[in-house]
Amino acid sequence: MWIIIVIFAVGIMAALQLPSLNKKKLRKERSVYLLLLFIAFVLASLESLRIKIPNPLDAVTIAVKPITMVINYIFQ
Amino acid sequence: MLENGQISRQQLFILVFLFSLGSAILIVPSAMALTSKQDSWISALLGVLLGMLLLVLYHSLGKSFPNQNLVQYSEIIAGKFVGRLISFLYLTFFLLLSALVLRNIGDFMTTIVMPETPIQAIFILFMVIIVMGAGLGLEVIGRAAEIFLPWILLLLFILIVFIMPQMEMNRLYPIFEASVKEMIKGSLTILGIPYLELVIFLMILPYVRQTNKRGNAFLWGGFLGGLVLSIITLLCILVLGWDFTSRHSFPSYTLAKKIQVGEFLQRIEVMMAVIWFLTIFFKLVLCFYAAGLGLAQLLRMQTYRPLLPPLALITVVLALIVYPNNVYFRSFASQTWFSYALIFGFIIPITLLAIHKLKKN
Repeated sequence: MWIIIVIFAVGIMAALQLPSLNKKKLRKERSVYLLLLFIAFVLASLESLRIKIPNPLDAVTIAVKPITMVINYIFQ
Repeated sequence: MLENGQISRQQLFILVFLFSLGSAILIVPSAMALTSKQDSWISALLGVLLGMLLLVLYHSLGKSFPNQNLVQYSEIIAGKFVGRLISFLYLTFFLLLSALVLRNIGDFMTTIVMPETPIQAIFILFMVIIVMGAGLGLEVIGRAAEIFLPWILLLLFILIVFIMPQMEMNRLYPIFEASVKEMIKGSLTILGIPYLELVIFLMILPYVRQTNKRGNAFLWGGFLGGLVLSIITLLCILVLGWDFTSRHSFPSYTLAKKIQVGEFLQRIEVMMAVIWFLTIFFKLVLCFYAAGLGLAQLLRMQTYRPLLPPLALITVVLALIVYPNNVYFRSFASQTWFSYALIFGFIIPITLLAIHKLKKN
């Protein structure tokens, strides 16, 4: 069910915003917009199809591990 | 200029105050009671003092470039490539923080207020409002904050006054049982949420009128926000006891549940939940606004508004995947978040400031 909502939402966003971006001839803005919309669409579809997306917080936890370890060492 | 709006010093003060309350008021008391037990109110005050030093750091960095924000001057200070890399990292920080804050309000709603509603529905409703607010710009956000502040203050006042009959002083004893080490460790919680997150205001400070006097408003907002957090923590310990506070996910909500004046004034906690909705709204809208504005500035775009809806969809997906369960959330909030926020809230700003000062001499 969620995949239908996702397609609907992305469609509405594009339908509402692309014409005005085209009209004002904002080329760069349009390409950035389309890229972001594509990323959002892929992420939302994967999530709605219950395909596991890697959790960014796991990456953060590994990246800041040294600092966490120092803090834990200081405060035991 | 991407943002033509300007806010007054008073509005900056209110925004800082609301930002430091948002979501921290739900999470901080329980996380702090876990480490420093009945002394966590002392930890909180200590954390506020340490947090003020951070705000002085942000203010002095902002003062060096009164008309530019973080994304703009990191390029000037650190050079084109490194500066852009730093800006990009900050954008991921802002977006991730938005997702975490959104998840907080979603978790709160689905655990306590509306347990049968899917969390996605709450995310989508909340994000629609956030996109509208951020799209209208900083000036509108500032004015909305001015309108909502009296309500938040009134509700906080009601909460604090009506809970007073339930206080039991002996829950506070023995005072100073926690060692100095434990107290400092407890204060790291309040330092991580909200003080290190206030780095977002480096994106907003240049849009304040009367650039020379904005420091006072910034510092006072952060100080009073921290003070309210400390008072709520103290009340949680006095009314619920430290062990119950530390075991509960949202102790300040349980606190509001305990209000009982006579036999007629009770169960007004959902009214109190309005405090959390409003403060979290302002925190989320500022994070999201900073992410959108920063991305547009980084890519030299003429407008940031079209980017907001796709960013909102990404935020909703992020909010869904960040915490697989409550245990993950608690360990992340108490262990990893401080280190992560320390990089963005302390290490990078102080390095930028040091490079800037060295370059000037």
